[in-house]
Amino acid sequence: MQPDPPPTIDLDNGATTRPDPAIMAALLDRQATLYANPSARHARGRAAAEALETARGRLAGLIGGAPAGLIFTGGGTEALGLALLGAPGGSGRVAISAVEHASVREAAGALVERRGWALDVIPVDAAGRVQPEALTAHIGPETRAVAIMLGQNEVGGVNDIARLAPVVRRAAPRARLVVDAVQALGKIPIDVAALDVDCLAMTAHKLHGPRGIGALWSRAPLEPLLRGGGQEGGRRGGTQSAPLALAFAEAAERALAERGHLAAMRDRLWGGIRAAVPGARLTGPPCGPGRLPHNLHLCVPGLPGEPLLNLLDVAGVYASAGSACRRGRFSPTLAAMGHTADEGAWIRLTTGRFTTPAEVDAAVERFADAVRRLRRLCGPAR
Amino acid sequence: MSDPDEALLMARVGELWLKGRNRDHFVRALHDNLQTALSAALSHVQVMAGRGRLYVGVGRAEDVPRALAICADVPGLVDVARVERCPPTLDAIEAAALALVEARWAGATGSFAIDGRRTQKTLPFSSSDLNRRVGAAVLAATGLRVDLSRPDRTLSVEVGPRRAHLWTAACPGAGGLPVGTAGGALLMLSGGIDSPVAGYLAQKRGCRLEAVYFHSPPFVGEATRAKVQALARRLAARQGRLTLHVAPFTDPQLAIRDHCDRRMAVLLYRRMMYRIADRLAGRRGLDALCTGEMLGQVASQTMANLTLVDAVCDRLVLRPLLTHDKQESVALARRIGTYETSILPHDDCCALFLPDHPVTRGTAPLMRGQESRIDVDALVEQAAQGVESVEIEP
Repeated sequence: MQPDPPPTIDLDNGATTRPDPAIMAALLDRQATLYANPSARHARGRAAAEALETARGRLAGLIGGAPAGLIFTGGGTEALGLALLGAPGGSGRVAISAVEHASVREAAGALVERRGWALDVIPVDAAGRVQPEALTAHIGPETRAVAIMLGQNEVGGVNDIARLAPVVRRAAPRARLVVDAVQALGKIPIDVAALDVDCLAMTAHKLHGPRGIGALWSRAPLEPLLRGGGQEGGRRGGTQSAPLALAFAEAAERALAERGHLAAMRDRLWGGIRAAVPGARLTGPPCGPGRLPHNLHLCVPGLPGEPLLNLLDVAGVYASAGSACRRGRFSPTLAAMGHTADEGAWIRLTTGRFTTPAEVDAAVERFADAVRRLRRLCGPAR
Repeated sequence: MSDPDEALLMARVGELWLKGRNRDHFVRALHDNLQTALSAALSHVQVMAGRGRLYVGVGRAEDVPRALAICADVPGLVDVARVERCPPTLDAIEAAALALVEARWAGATGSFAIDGRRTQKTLPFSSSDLNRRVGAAVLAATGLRVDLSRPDRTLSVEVGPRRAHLWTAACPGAGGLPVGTAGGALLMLSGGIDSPVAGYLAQKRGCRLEAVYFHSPPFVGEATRAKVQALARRLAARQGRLTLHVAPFTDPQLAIRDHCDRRMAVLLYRRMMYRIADRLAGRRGLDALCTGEMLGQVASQTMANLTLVDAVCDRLVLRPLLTHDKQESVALARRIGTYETSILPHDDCCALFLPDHPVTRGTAPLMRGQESRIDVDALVEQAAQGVESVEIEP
């Protein structure tokens, strides 16, 4: 007989989040009623188009952008791909920060391979953030696109885009500034005008919304990646989903309104772990305005990472080694910050809107227990 | 067979006829394996034994392609075809042949041949009578030429004392022997490419498999165990169900790490695995172990090192891939549908706690010396006792 597994505690909200039941109920309802093709001319189609535009306006309003700039996509990866690969042709350079998500790294790689662009990688500081001096040194008049993420997905650093944008304008006047806000949307206030960004990528599933919808806000010209139908102002072909778009807007609004909870739970978690696991070190910027409110990334020195994650998995605590999109290799983000794999176990714990104080306390206990067990297993021989 | 929707498949059995007195046993096993494989996917399928053949009644004609594909994957069959049947007279056969040709060869161009045979010489016509009669009718009814040496298509007719069977296309079967007729083997299943292929090849030569997977939590994650289960499920399809034994392997590995020369860890791990598998096979009444090892593929699979693992186990060790190349194994893995699962990332417990420069060649005295530092028997017994067995359904 196996004992019952412990109730699971989801601290992997940086990978994805549990859909909000209220938003899902409304979504399901609208899937049944608001299903018409928004391009159709009849009454039902017009109703779907109106709902789609409402969603567009609400989401654009949330980031202070013009609704016409907002393009619905299948998700964050597509939004980033559109911002970079959709840049009009010609030769040039693309500069990306050293801690960008794989979707940006690989899109930039495609610009190099297919269009012969040159790639510049902007180094980050020890907290994983881009500093103006480093940016200046890696962009120039040839630079056509600069990608710097707003909130870093692994270590949670928030880049000061408002300070970096003027550097881009000055040093690389032809460049579009592409900002990955997939982790940041709903976690910190965003104002595209104040930040002076050209393209901002977002997704719904990271903030308790549905999977399968994201958006790119852009004021830069774009060549569509998907053609056929001329939807989204000719920038993204394919029938839109008004129900998904509304659910996305609602999820983002709700996330932003309740974001205080994320930091409260994260701080409780870090406080608990710091007390229970001597030696555990925070990676990235200190908890505060320079860090995404749901993100905790830490290193337990002297222990291997995968086994700690495995023990947490068996104990019902969902965590991750960093980005869920990579496995088996050391994180390029941590490497760019000057870290190595043998420093210890690198673990990312990310809170969500449904994380409770009781869960956090139980997770701290299980985490400490897993560390103790692994220390015993790794023993003096290690 | 009165329902017009019902279809009949005819499967020809392979080497079974070489097996003398075992023949009934082999045919029965094949019958049961076919029925199990078909019933797992389709309803209204009935396997029936005939003279030198197995027949499959398929209740719904639209299930025929699926049923043919399933039959083609069951070891022990040479080929399988959808057949029509009729009384064993030339008139009836001619009518059936014309109906079949009209259905299957409508609009076809090129050449054809008739491959007519009698299973008994007591019929009132010869095989050449049969071929001439059917051939002339088909020639007149279609625009096709006759070409007996390299025909584009063939109509086969087999006439027995009570019935004739006709078909136009046969799918090649998997060949080999029915699963279960060669005894039971314990497959050492890792998450990699080779071990599932080795299991498939052993099944194809008639082995009924159980599998053992060595699990080293927390150094190896649950995702790897889930991956092994997915691979076991693919193998289970060929034999109805498969018992997967998950053997706890953390303690033997830690003992080796802490007390032995780590440069020899891989060989020591493998000797422990073989001992545990051997004990488990004995308990389960299995005659052999089966592994995915390939001669010289990695340092632990040299002749010298294979000798070192064979030395700790009493049983026959089947190594179906021993002389294959990696590319051959990959091609087979793709064919049996395990490749996509095998290449998912997984943890390999043999890679744990290794120094930078492992010893690639061991000797028996060296191994015994290292093993004297740990309680081999107790560790083997403890692992064998701790085995968790899961029944895997296809």
